[in-house]
Amino acid sequence: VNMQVGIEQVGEIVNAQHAIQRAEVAGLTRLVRAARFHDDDTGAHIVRVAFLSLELARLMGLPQEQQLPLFYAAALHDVGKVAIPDAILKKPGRLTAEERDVMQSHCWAGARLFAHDESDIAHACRTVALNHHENYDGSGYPNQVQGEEIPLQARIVSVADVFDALTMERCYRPAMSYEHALSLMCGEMLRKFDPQCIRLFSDNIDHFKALHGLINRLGAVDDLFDFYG
Amino acid sequence: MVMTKRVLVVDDQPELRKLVRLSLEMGGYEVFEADNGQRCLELLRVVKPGIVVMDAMMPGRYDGFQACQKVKAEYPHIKVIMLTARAQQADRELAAKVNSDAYVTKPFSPMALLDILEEVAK
Repeated sequence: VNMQVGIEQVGEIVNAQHAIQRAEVAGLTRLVRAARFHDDDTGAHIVRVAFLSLELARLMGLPQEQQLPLFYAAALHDVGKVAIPDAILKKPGRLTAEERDVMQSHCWAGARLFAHDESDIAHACRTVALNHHENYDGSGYPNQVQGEEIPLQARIVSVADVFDALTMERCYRPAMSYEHALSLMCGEMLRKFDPQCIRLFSDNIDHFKALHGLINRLGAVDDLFDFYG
Repeated sequence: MVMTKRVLVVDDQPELRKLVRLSLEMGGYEVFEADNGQRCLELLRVVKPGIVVMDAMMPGRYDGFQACQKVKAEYPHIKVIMLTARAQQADRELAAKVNSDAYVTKPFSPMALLDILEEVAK
C-alpha cells in the first residue's frame, strides 16, 4: 500500500466511503420497509422502537458513531419474523410447544439475514436480532445468556421493545397506559432488564412518553431511514 | 427583531421536516419550513428566525453548506445548525468552514436536537 496519499486521493476515498454507506443505508431502508409491511401495527411499532432505543442509547452515553447502527438494529429487531409462517405468527390462541420453538426461531432468522457482513451496522443488526429476547436474569431466549453477556445494544432495545409492546393494543388485551406499563416493568418484570437501562428509562419516562406520541403523529416515515436522501 | 424561539427548518425531505417540526414544537419553538436553500434565503427576511436548522445534503442551486455560508454572511446573528448524514470528519470540517454554529448527525433523537438548540440559543 502506498502510504503517500495525496489530497486528491483523500477526497476520492471520502467520496467512495460516502457511496458505500449510501448503498448500505439504501439496502437497510428497503429492509425496514419490508419489515413494516409485515408488521401487524402498520409498522409504527418498528419506528417507535427505533426512536425509543435511540433516546435510551443517548441517555446511556452510547458514542455518536454507535447510534446509527443501533437505530437500524432496533428497527430491524424482529425482521426474522419474515421467516415464520403466518399460521403461527398470527395464531390467535395459545401456541403449542413446537409452535413456540418455531416462533422463537425468528431471532436466529434475523441474525442470519446479516451473516457474513462485518460492517458496524450489520454487526449491530445481527446482535440485536439474536439477543433482543434475552433477559438480564437469564430467563430469556434463544441462548439464555444473562447480565452483561447480553450485548448492550440488545439490552437497550429490549427495554424499548417491551415498553412499546405493552402500550400497544393487542387482539387479546387493550393497550396499557404508560404508567401501568412502567410500573409492570419496574415491578414484576424488573429482573429481565439491565438495571442501568431500566433506571434511566424510568427516570426519563417523560422523554419516552413524548417520543411515543410524536412518532404516532408523524404518519409517513419511510424516508426517515434513508439519511442520504 | 429576531425571534430566538422562531426556527426555520430547511430540508428537501418532507418527512424529515415534519420530524424536526414536531420535535421543536415539543420544546415550544415556532417552526417555519423551506424545502431548499434558495427558498430559505428568500424566507429569512420575512420569517426573521433566531435559528436555522439546515440539512447538509439538498438538491438545487445551493446545498446546505453553501446555503449556510450565505445565511451567515448576510445575517451573522442567526444561528445555523447543520444536519449531516454521518459524523464524517469531512462533513464536520465543512460545517466549521461555513461558520455553522453546531451540527447534528442523523439519526438524532428529538431530545438531542432540542438540547443542541438550547445550547446554541444561549
